[in-house]
Amino acid sequence: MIGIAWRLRERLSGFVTAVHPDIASLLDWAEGKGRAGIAAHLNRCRACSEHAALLRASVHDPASTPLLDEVATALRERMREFNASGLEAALEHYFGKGALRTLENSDIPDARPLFHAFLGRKAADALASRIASMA
Amino acid sequence: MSAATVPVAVPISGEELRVSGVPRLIFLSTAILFVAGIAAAAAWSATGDIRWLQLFFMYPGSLFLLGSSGLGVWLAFRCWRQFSPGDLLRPAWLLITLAALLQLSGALLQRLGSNWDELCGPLYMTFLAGGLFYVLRACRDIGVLCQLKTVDFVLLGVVLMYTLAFFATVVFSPQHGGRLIGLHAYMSWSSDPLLCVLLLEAILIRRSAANLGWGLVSRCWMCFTVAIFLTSVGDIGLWASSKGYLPHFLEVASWYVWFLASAAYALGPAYQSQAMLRAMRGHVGDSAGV
Repeated sequence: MIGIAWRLRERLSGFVTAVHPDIASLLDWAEGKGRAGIAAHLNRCRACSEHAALLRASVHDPASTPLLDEVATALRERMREFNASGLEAALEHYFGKGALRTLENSDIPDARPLFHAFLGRKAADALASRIASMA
Repeated sequence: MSAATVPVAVPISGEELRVSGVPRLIFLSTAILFVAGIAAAAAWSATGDIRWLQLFFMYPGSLFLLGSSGLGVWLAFRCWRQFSPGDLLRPAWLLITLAALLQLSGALLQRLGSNWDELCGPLYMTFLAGGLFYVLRACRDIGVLCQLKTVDFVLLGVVLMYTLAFFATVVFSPQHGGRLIGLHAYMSWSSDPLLCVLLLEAILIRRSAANLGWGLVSRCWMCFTVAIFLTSVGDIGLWASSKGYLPHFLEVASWYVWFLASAAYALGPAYQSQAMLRAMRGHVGDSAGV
C-alpha cells in the first residue's frame, strides 16, 4: 500500500511543485536512475534540488555529507505523514474505503486521474495542494 | 500550482452553506412526505374517501416533485459550471443538467395538464444515458470499471422481459393499447428500451462505485443508479396495474415509488456538489482531522 502511495507521490511531483518526491526517488536520481518527472521537479523546487545535490555528493564521496542520515530521516518522516494523513484519507473521504485497494489492483495505480475526472481539475488541484501542505 | 500556493482558509459563503445542507434537506423532506402519504392512505382506507389520496398527490406530492426537480437542475448546473473545459466529466454534467431541465419541464407540463409532458420523459432519458456514457468512459480510462455479475444479468433480464412484454402487448398489438399512432405514441414507447440502456449503464456504474466504497463521489453515482432502478420499478408498476396484475395495495405503493426516484435524482448532484465544494476548500477527510 505504501509502495503505491510512494509511486503516486513521485508521479504527482513531476506536475505539482508542492508535492515533493520521496527520498528513494531522489536517491535513484542521484545514482543516475532518475525519471523525467523528478528532473522536472528539481528544476522548480530549490529545497529538493538541495537534498538531491547532497545525495548525489554522498553517492560520489560519502565522507563529504555527514548530515545525510538526518536529512533522509526527516524526508521519510514527512512522506509517512503525507501518506497517513493526506492521500489515503482523501481517497476514503471522496471515493470510499475500497478506493486505495481498487487503485492498487488497477492497471493504472495512480490517484491523480481519479480525482481529476470525478472532481474536476480545479477542485482536484486545490485538494492536492492541501494534502501537500499537510506533509 | 507551485510551492508558494499553499491554500489559505476561505470564508464559507452563503451558497456553500446551502449546498452542504441539501442532502439532509432532501432526506428530511422525503421522510415528511412519506409520513403524510401514509397518513393519507390510512385515512382513505379507514373512511373509503378517495379525496384523502387525491389531496395528497395533488398538493404535497406535486410540490415535492417540482421542488426536487428544480433542485436537481440547480445542483447539476452548479456541478457542470465547476468543471473546467477539457475535464473528462464536464460533458457528462452538461447532459445531466439538460436531462434534469427536461424532467422539470415534464413535471410542470403535467401540472398544467398538457400532453406534451410525454415527450419530455424519453428526451430526458436520452440525455441522461448520454451523460452516464461519459461516466462509464471515464471509469474505463481510469481503470476502475467493473464487469457485470450474475445478479446484474438477472436484473437486466427482468427489465428486458418487461420491455418485450410491453412491446408484444401494446406496441405490436392491433389496438396499440388504445392509442393513436403518432409522435406522442412513438416517443412514449421509446421510454422502455431507453430504460434498459439506462439500467445497464447504472448497474455498471454501481458495480464500479461499490468497489471504491461509500465516499461522497461514489454516493452521487449510487444515487443515480437507485433513481434509475426505481424509475424501472415505477414503470413496471404502471404497466402491471393497467393490466390488473397488481393487488390494490401494491398498486398504491407503486405510486409512491416516483417520489423516491425523484429524491434520488436530486441527491446525486447534491453529493457531487458537496464533494467539489469540500475539495475546493481543501477538505482532506474526517480521519485526517481536517
